[in-house]
Amino acid sequence: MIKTSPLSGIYRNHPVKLTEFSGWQIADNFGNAERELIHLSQGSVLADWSHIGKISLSGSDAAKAAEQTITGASKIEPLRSLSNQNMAALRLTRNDYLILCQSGMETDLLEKIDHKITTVIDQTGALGCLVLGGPRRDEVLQRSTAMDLRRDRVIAGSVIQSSIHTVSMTLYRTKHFDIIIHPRNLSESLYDALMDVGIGVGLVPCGISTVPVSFEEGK
Amino acid sequence: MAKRITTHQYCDLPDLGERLSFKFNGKNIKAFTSDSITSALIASEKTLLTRSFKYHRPRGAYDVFGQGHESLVTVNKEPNILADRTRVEDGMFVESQNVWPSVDFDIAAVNDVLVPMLPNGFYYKMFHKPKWIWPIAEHQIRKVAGLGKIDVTGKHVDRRYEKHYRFPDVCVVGGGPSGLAAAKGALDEGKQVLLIDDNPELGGHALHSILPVVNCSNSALNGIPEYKAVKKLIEELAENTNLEVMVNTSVFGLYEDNLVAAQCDANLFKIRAESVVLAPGATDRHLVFENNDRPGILTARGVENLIMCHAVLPGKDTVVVTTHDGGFHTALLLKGAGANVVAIIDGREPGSDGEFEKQVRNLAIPIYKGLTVHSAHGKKRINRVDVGPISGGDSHQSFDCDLLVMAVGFKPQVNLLSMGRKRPEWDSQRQILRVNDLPSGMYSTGDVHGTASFSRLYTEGTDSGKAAALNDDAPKTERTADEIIMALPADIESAGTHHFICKCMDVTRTEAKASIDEGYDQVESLKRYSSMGMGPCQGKACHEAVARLAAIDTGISEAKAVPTTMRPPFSGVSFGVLAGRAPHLSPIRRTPIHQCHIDHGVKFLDAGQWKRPDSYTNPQEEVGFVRNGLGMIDVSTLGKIEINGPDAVAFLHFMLPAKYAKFEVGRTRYSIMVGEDGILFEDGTISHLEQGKYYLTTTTGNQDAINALFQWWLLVEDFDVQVKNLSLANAAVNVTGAASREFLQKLVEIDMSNKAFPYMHCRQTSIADVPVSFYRIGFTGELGYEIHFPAEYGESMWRYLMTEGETFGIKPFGVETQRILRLEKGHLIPGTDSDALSSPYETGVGFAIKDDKVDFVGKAFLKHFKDRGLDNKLVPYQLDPSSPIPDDGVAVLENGEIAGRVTSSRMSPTMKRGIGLAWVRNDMSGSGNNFTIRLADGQDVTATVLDHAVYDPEGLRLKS
Repeated sequence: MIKTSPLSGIYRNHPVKLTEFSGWQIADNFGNAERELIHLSQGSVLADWSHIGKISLSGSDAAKAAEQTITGASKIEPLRSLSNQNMAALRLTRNDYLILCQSGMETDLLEKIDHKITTVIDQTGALGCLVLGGPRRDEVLQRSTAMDLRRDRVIAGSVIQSSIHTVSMTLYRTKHFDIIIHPRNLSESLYDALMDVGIGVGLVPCGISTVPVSFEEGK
Repeated sequence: MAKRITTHQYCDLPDLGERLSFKFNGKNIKAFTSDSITSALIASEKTLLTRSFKYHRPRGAYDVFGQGHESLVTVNKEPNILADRTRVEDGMFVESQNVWPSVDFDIAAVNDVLVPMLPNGFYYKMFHKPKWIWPIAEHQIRKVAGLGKIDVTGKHVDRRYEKHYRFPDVCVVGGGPSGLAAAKGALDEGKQVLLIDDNPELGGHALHSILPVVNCSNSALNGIPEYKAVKKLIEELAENTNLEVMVNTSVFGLYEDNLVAAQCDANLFKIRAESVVLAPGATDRHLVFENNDRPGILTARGVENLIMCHAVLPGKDTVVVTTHDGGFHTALLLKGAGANVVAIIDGREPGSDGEFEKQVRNLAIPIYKGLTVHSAHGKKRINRVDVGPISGGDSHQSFDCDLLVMAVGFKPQVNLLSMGRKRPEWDSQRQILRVNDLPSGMYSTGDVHGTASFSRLYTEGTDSGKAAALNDDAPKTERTADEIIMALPADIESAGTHHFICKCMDVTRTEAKASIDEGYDQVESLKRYSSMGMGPCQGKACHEAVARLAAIDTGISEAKAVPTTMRPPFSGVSFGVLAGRAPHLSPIRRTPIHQCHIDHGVKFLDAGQWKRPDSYTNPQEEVGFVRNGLGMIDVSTLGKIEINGPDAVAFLHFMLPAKYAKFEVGRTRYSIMVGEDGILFEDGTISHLEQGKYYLTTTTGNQDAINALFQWWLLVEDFDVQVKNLSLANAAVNVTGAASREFLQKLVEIDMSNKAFPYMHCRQTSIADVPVSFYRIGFTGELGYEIHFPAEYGESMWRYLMTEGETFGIKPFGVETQRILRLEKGHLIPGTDSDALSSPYETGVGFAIKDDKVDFVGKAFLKHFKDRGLDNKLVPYQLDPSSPIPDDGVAVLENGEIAGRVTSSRMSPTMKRGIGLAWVRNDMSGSGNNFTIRLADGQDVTATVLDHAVYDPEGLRLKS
């Protein structure tokens, strides 16, 4: 059985080329990969990374559990992150982590974590993930949220928990992307809202061939 | 005679851009791309732009900065556009407002004769008796006293309203010399700066000043005329990447914590700055004299702007009225553009010797000292002015002219500094209204503290910008005696009754005095009664004159003159900008199976933010699918909470009113939840999936609240449990109907037989390799299984089940169908059939309470409810087959008195009669008792209380 993105309804409205990734059906491109690359370099793009693995760790020993997924995760400060190409540990509070990983890796990670010491939930299907990229992505954010997301204040590697277009979300910022983790059931609404405000700054949807999944904060 | 000029003796003229044309009141007007609507119209000798609010007096351009109502026109059917600030576009349609049939011949101009004959404030005093006359009078008054008309179809508006946020370190409001310097000061400290100006171009009044800059701390600017110096400064700043500039942007409000609200076209900007520097500058002072509203009277800075920014000479024969050297500067610009400067009327006594006055004297232009303007003549354009002493009285002399230039000092734009926090005060030394103390993080600089030289404005601006960047104390401002411009009397007390204080609302000095005589002798009540300062400019033009004259006419010293409170919006802001676009504010929640419902042609139901399937065909038909075959419904919106850990049972004992010590693995139970007040607020099921692992389902609306409640109690009480909210992680469907077992048995390896998997049990297995959990429950009254599985398989699982179930005739059904099914079975829905006063005992779910536990949430109140007995009871009922179906919520009556209410009511397609649940008094709740339901149309129907569900009362079908 195929796992579907919460944006499957959006896919229908575009000449999307779908690809299969660890059992997920996800957009490889939205019909014109060349155009997506131009917008990535000159305008802004919105990619669907809903298929990435997402694991939440909650409880007093969440840091210990996080350490079991990525070395050093227990030492990061709240609202900061530790990442490599394949995964990122986002420390939301002293007692809460969200682990992001390449699609399919979550199964192994869940096995590594001692479920007795903290509350572990596989949130892969519960949460959507939209990624804003391109030099004009800040203009999309400035139309979308009352949060101060200035790049000199919210630097790469930062984690923000707030709301965007009234949708609660966790934002993980890398050097070139803003990764927005949000409830799956609101994914299509959030996509619509971002695309709506992004019209003026050349925001286009794009697939994972244009913006492949990578969690490194320097990317 | 106005005209376009091509050369100027004293300055360079701007590049006007491409030629274009537009329509004004149906006539073709030629213009350039750099033109504002006002400059283009003046260049085409269109002096008469609009008519006044009340008297429909002719009005023309005045300050050319968009401060007054004169600038308001309708552009492409959109009313109240500022002609002064709007650039012309090819093919644009511009129309005058508040005129009929035309701006040149306006019937309502008769008001100018009639209204003064009526008592002061006649609209408050007349048309009250007989009563019917007021609606007619109101309609007529509104018709003749208004601004533009809105095209309510909205078809002319093709616009996107956007909301933006900015978070600069320093926000500078005003792009004149001091604002630019402030931006530079803050930029030099490495801060991010947002610079906002409401004009199309940065530079402020310096853009039309030919005075050379001297002694400026920025030596690169010394020795060149101000209009070149300011452009050089702009170029210098433009290179800084930390600067963002927004022009054509009006700041209309300043709020707590440095929130700056601004509008640019259809965009609303909410700017939260660390510091705000206000450099709004000053505009030419409004002088009150006879016929001071006539077309052809322009402010000095307006005239300078027209000449130097648009190459337009607004008149030929010119009289300049002044009180400072700036008036001579304007005269020189007029002369250099080819105007005939008939006279300069200087209110100062002989002895002044400004730089420009000297130059003007050398040109042999007549200068009259110690005098000012008394009266203007001419109707649609002035043709003569009378001058006399500044104290008023008789006029001495008259001059023929078609342009009267007012250069009688400057009025600081204190509105933004005040904004409801602090009222301006009259500074007798500087002869202006000022606001001195600003809240922390807010700074002010520039002409708003009195006009000063370019170099002083630059220094003060830089200091303010640095202070704002470093959060230092605000620097002090100073003005030397030669920089102070004396204020003429607010009203030149000459003859005549058309001394307009507030041109927007057509209020004259005579009316203001009459209002004071009627008892409105405080500036606030005077404003409200006479409506002075309440027009489109919101007092920007007249607040100083209103304050000074109100002080004089109420016998207060002018030094104690105080304007009325200044509040946002400072400038006009459209409702569209404030409202934004609605869809962003109400996101839609979609289940993981949403697209499948669309494929089935669903009719959706809004359940809070959720889109749930209401039905696919019609609910009455869909009931039949379930009762006679096989149906499937998406129940993914249910709350799903997993509880595990060593203290799981203790936690459940504490949170829920039932007992779980003997709750075996593989069992499922109906469960309720009560609050600490013992009130029923939730029901669902709880299943024991594995040893120590429980799975609780909740209603859609309560899932977040219950999860939050659990988390809260876990902080308070010491339970070693893990609570996992899986509401979004899992999707769920309910497959129900007599064929459900046979169908599902095909898909799973576990034994689905009634013996192996009985009613109210749960199992974990897989379907097509997807892990699923089964819960055999009976909400619909039929054999049925709730299947929970990972949300990402939502669409695939639904399609798989629909395909595999095809041979069993499986059909989707919606929430409305489910409501009928559950009502046939007599199941309640908390929140629908219960309310904030419903005890579980009265609701009929007391069986789920085991109150012989040590302690649990709501225990004390449940005991109280139990001891008290039942006052009311929720009962199932049925109607006679011929009775109409009541609406939900209608009243239950006994002997004509209200004795309860219907909570749920539907037509039962199975029983072919109306059924429902109703609250009735306990003494009416006996089985077989009849009671009356009053329908919405007043008709009464008789209902009969049942002691059991109408459908399958023994539960044979769901246990089969």
